[in-house]
Amino acid sequence: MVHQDFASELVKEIPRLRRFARGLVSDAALADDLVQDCVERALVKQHLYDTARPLRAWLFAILRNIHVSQWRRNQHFGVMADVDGLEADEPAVAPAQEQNLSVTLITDALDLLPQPQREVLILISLEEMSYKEAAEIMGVPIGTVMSRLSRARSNLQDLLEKRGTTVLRVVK
Amino acid sequence: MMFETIENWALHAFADGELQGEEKAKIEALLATDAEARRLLEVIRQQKAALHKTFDGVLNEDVPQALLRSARHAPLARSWRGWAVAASVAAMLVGGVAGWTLRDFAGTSAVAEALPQRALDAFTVYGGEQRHPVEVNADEKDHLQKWLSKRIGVAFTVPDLSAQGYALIGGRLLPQGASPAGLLMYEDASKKRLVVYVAANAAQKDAPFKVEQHGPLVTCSWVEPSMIYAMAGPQSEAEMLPLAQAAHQGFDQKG
Repeated sequence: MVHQDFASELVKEIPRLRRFARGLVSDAALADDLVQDCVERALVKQHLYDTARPLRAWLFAILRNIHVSQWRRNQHFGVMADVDGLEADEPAVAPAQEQNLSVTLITDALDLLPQPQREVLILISLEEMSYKEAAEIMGVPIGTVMSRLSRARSNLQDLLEKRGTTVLRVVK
Repeated sequence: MMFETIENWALHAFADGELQGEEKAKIEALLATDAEARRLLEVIRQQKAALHKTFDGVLNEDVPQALLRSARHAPLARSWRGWAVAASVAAMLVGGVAGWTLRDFAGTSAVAEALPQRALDAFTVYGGEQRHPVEVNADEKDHLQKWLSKRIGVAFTVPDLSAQGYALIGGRLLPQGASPAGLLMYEDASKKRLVVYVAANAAQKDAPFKVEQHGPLVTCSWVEPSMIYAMAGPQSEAEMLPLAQAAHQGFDQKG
């Protein structure tokens, strides 16, 4: 049986779950599939939810776990993007606006980040989870969150700067 | 880029609102004097703004109806899709699964609800047992099969999971209330174990295939008119699904 309060709280979280999922996987349809799987699993597992804790973090953890297991499976089958390939045939995208931080550049750069760095960046810089919540969601110590986060920001910046100059060269 | 030094962690923590009181004041003082620190903070803020610009639009989109329906329906009716995803993995591997997948699940019994827990309990009690994990060893597999089939009252074949990397250790009889149930135990090359719980289905109703995470353990369970099945172990879901499919196929060779 669905507990009605639980279901209505769950519905309220869907927009945030969709943004989180979109941050983890760029493809909008795949991101919504992830949200759907998360919602379904949350309903099945609702008896395991500790009402003393924030529902959002609990749902994020479920969504993230589904994503990680799918990602591992895809990696196993070799579906991962080829980083070198992407670098090589870099498209001549429109010149970057606003200090190289256009939506396209951010999306492309995120795609090149290693998965654990991408997820920590999305959780903290976009979803504004605390370090403690992020640690719980990812199942790692806070120290790991911090070191991954600083690497993620550093790598993202390098990618944005590199991409920005490449684009400028192409445009010239 | 100087992001990766220990000193800069405090700057990240400051930017993310993690610092309070004295620690926060220390960074504020640093920012007043240190241009590099100000630059790094600005980069963090620009990245945050760019991420919001990229993804915040999603918050204002209408939520797809399918998602709303998922959240509002009762889990058993609704679990169709999640279960179908698991089953489709299975279906890729095995034909003739339709009879198993296309049943009416409205009458799912209490048996199905309790099933994952039975496998979990069995794993918890016997999964770590070093000297006596089983009563009958794998070298007496034929005897094990006949004995458990006879006690449970349903003839079944002990599944062979060697193609999935799991060797049979053996099995034992378990009490389930006053009824007998069977436990089969498998192990992979790294000594990771897996238990498969089987019993007769008194309710004669079937139930959907179900995968659940319980802390570090994963269970897979399903109910057929004649028998109930549940697996438990420390495997990931991705590892468990092909094992469940192989077990399902193996049991089906009975008769």
